[in-house]
Amino acid sequence: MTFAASLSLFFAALLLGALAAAVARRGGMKLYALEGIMLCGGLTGVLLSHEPVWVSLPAAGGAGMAAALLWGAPLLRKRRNQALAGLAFNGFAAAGAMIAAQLIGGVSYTRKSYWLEIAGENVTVFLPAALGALLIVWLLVHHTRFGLRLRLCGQSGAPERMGVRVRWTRGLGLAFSGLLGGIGGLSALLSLGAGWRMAWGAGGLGYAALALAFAGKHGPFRVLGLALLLALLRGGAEWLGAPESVLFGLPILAALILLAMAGRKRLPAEQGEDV
Amino acid sequence: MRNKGFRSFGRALLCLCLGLLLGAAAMIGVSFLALGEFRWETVCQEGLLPLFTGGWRDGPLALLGRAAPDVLLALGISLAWQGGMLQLGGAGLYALGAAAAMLCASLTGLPWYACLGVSALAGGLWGAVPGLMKKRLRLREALGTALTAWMAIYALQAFSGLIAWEQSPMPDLFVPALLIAGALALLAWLSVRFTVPGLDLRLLGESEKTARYAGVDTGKTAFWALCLSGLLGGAAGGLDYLLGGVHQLPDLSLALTGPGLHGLAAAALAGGHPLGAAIAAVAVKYLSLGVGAMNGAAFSPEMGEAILALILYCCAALALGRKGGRKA
Repeated sequence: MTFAASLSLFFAALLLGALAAAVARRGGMKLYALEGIMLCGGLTGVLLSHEPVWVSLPAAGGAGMAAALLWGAPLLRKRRNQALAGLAFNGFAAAGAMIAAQLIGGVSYTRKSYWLEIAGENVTVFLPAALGALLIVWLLVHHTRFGLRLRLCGQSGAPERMGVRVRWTRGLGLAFSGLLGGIGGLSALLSLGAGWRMAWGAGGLGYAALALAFAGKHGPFRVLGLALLLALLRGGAEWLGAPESVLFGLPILAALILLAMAGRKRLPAEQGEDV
Repeated sequence: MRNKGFRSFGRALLCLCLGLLLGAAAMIGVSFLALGEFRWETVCQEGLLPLFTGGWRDGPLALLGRAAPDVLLALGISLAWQGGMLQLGGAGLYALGAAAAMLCASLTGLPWYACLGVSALAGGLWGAVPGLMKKRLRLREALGTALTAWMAIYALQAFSGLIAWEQSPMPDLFVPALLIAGALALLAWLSVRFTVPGLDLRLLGESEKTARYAGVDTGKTAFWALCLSGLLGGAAGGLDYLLGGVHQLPDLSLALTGPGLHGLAAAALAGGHPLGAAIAAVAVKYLSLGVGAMNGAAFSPEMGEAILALILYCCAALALGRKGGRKA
């Protein structure tokens, strides 16, 4: 895999994951299960990687959506511990992925179908997908009636009194997050390289994306800036010839620092259980 | 049942049963996929029977001794839980503790209790990182501890070429491990229940605002809770290495499943109560040892991880131990 290819896959995974977390958070759900959702979507996409891209990409998104709803459906009410459930789901997804790999006798994949030729340059299909998702999220969350309802669900006050069907709206937001997370997961798994194992999940990219969403205060363009920053950091490390563990560990360290620097002020009021 | 303790116990039992039921359903599905047909005797003999009896294979002393590291990890997570914080970095603390104990034992040849101290120190220092960030920068400790866990494991992987793993040279330590775990569980409960810092911690867990009005230095209390949590998590990894339970440098496989998940499941089942967490950790270890005894064509140890994850999910979905989810 070339330097540009690896970097674009990493950037797209991070951006899609962070957008997924941001959309879910706007609706009052903290997507601690993002790592597991990315793994479910990614595994489905990887298994179908020999098929055309218009099959594997929607399949990854669909699997991510199903995983997000499986995780989130019992948590749409208040007073459920989303962080704990998220960690449990991540563990369940990792164990389930290992069992699935054993049942089908190993996973083989190809990256060939994920390249587009634009102006004579080979570009991964995930890059335009991530940028398109950014625009869709911006339009959907900030410029539509559904987005307004979704944001109301994530704010304190009583959206029910304004005629918003909270659980339904939140569930739709969660399903859309799952779609983004699943496609991001496929990009993440393809960026992880040949030595990747199911037990490793998405290599911590889900947690890094979640931290980016929090650090970017759930704004799509702020998230884009932070994802670019992390991609540049990783690109620099790769260019300097850093080992693989540093390449994957460095963005997590950077995400932690960004999260700590962002603090907790001016966040939307909490719904559900805050941690 | 008006008594709070009975109600918590009932809920924990409900979570355990619900998780096991869902796990049994998953087993049936997996056996059908693996064998191409449904055979009830396969599910019973290769799945359920080892799951429920495998823990007794080497006797109660071995079970309790092997559960000692899990008890320490669950205690560490419970301490943070009492302060309303979720310690999701148990896997990283465990990995660091195990590596520190191994390095101490192989490089210095110090006695086991010194190696255990070194591993606890390593965990405590690592636990101080999110603690300090929470105190100074109001970091979200759940995400912060999870990220530090991944960082710890990646850091260990970065040095994997320099570290030659050696098995624990220590003699049979089941009895001392059991005594240490029991004594620490009792000490943790007494400290939380009857001391001023323990009261501060519980007050912080109930409500940060109330704690602040009552004159509690909330940042300092949270910092020390996360440090202590790290200390116990590191000691858990060290003790497991000394007992011969860690056979290689911990890798990324630990990040999502394994001891971190087990410790959190035990703490969640107990609702953060230290003594309850110790008992739940033994129960969780019993199940995980039972899973290790599964060696049929249809089931693998990953099935056990899935079942434990389901139990933990049930705890979260049934809002067990709400204190861990309140604002901190």
